[in-house]
Amino acid sequence: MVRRLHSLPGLIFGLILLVLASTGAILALAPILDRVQAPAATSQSVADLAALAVAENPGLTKLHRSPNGVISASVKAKLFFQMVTIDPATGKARGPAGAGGFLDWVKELHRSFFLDQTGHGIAGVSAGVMLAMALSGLVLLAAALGGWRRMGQRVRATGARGLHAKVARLAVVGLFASALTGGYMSLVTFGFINDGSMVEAAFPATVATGSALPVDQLAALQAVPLTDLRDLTFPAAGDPTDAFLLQTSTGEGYVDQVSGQMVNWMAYGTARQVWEMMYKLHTGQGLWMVGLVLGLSALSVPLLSATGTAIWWARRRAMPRLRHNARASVADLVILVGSEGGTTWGYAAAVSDALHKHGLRVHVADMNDLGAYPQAGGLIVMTSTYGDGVAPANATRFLDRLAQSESPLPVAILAFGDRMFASFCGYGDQVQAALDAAGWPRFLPMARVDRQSAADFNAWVQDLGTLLGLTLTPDLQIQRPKTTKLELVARHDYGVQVQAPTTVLTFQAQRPAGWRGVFFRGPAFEAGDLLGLMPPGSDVPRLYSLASSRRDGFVEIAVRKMPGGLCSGWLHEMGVGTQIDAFIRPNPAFRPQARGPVILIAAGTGVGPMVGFLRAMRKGRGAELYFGARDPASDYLYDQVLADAVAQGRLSRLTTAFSRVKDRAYVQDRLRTDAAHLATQIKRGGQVLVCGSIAMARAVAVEFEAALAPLGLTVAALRAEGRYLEDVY
Amino acid sequence: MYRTTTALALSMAALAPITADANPVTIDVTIAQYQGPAVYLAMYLTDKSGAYQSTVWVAGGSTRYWKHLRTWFDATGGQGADGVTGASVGAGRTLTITPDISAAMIDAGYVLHIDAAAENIGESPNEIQVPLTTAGAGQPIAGNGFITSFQYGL
Repeated sequence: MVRRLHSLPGLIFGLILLVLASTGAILALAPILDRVQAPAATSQSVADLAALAVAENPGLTKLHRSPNGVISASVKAKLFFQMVTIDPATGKARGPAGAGGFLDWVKELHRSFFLDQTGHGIAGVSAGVMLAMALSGLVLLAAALGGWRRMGQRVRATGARGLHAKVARLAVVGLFASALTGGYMSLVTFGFINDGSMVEAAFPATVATGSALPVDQLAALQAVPLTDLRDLTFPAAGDPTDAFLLQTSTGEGYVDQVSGQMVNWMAYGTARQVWEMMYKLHTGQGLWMVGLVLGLSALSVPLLSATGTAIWWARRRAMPRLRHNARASVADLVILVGSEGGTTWGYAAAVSDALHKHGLRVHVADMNDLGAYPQAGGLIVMTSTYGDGVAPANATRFLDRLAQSESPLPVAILAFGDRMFASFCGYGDQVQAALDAAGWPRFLPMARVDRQSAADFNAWVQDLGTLLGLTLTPDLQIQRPKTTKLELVARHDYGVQVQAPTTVLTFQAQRPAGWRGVFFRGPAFEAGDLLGLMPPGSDVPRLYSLASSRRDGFVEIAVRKMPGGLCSGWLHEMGVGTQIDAFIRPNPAFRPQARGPVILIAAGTGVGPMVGFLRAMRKGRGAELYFGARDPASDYLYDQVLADAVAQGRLSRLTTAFSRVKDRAYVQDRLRTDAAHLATQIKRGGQVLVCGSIAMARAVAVEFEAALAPLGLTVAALRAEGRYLEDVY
Repeated sequence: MYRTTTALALSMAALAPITADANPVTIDVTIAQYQGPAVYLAMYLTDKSGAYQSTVWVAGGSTRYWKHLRTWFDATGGQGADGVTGASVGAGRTLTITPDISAAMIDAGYVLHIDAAAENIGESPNEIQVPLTTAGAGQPIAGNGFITSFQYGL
């Protein structure tokens, strides 16, 4: 819902907002230019300036001072008004007033697109749209980061999504302020808000008789310092019944030509003061620093619209077409989808099509569309989780609708998530609990799919097929990532003697032939990202953690040969010179923090990404590595690389544990010994990264719970802050 | 062809009652060259006793600014007028309008007034003040604030 509120207006108003923001950014320069040109403030009074100006400019009708200190005058010398800027020191005209043709043009484009009232209306509505987008964007960002209190956290998303979130977080306050003040000014223009400008000082009922005093002797004008002046309107030439109208920042009143006294002074009310403040905030008049901030924020809008459109387009493309969607009223089986980015729809479509092949009528819909299904024998809920256990975009109303539903069906939940998150499939758990509480029986236990694992998904589909007595062959239409050609340039084998054959494979991206090779830099990746490979005879990609980043100039993974493993077997047979197709899957959640201690814990091939991190580590950062293997003589992966890292100061502490030698030990044993040291590092803001098998990660977590207990901390608390990261398999 | 003529005849018939007592008067107002925001104009009629009769045209839609068209605004009792507004007129531009002014108002002591004002520049109340007469039609007049040339045609 919020997402639609964010993307739809963005797409419709994109171009208009682009114009408003770009022109706004240019106009933000005006107060700065004024400030450069404006004369230094003096102790002049309004009377002093008026006398100088009137002597130098015959036909002067009005003096105006902008909040930036620029003084302009309306002069009607012979015929017609002219506006000039005035040098307050001499009263002489410097030249025509106004910021100049270009800025005036930009200002008119910004205010009304040269469409007069219609344009003012469009600009006003656009301000409202911008306000709605700033607010909905904040809600989305908070949900993605896991709550309002975590707004300052690092944005994990990459690509267009990451850029959009990072830039928007910086600019949102400025954009919000611009939109709010702009919207206010528009409401004033259309008379929906009173700005107090309709209340005016009353014209004096009587004026003093006699000859008019010289301007510099008018007491009421002598009493006002020039810095307070807004407008001074001169009496009509030769009209003894007219008076000066003086308007300052605080009020207005008439000044008698003869007595020089203030008559009918009227102080401005709250409405007028609010207008003044809003006007200054929006234009930066008199607040050039604010103007600069708002202008810089406005500059983000082109980038935000471009990335926003890209995100919307990617989400649309990820949405598969449902070929045989049955109506809800006749469906034999219903699949409800909870999806944030659209990926889950691909799985739902595959299941739907597989069931359709057996003649079943399947209805697929958003979770928010939960309704009555008179013919259905069962309900399947396939849902992802957004951020920290939050409902995805099209499932936000599901629990409410469930509470109102009176016809329970047998139900099966397939939850999609990322084991790296504190609440893995957290929303799926909530839905299962709610369904249990409402008395909907389960026809299959709840199942989880980790990071779009095809294996997890296929296992669940097999269970479903067994239950229904059908052979289901889902055809997953998940978009295959773009692959790059890699050539194996080196391999180092370890661990054969200890029954743990492991190989470190080093690839190099192949430069395309011809002109496309000139700017070729290879795929972008960081250590800890995943390399996706497809072994021959399989179309399910296998993922391996990368032990290098693009800066290293090579692509490296560590692979343990699994008994009967199709992919690991293929890789272990691979000879130097072999070319393969591979893709990068970013894993931004698993990265060392930029500052503070880093504790790396790995066993076996889990050392791969740690080595990658250490390759890019700054000297003297104080990184520590705990590494567990079987025998230093056989499967001590990267022994030379790690020794170099220590020698060069990129790794300050290396602790190893070997399990097949005398004094056997596992990595968790070393952690237990070092519990006090680990607690100190955590207290100093340290971060823990664990990579290895699930069993090893569990044992490590147990040791950390014990080490953290004296600090009153838990692993879960560190996880929530992104200070305890796991990449396990 | 046949159809078009019929349609034209029908629409002409529909217009007939209006054209009988309303004269399409053409008014041209040319604004001086200056640097600054566009001019707001209010054109209105007074009868031979000098009393306000009706508003002919207002150039500039922001009602907030109407108070600066001072004599007109006061004449309407601080109300302004709806339904006869268009865009404000930029420096150097010419505004041409054809308001419906009753034939009975020509040569009958009715006077056309124009107030002009522009933001931050100034106000020019009653800049044009001209009796509506057959003889005066097509005679250009100059103002002294914003209007370089004004004329009406019957």
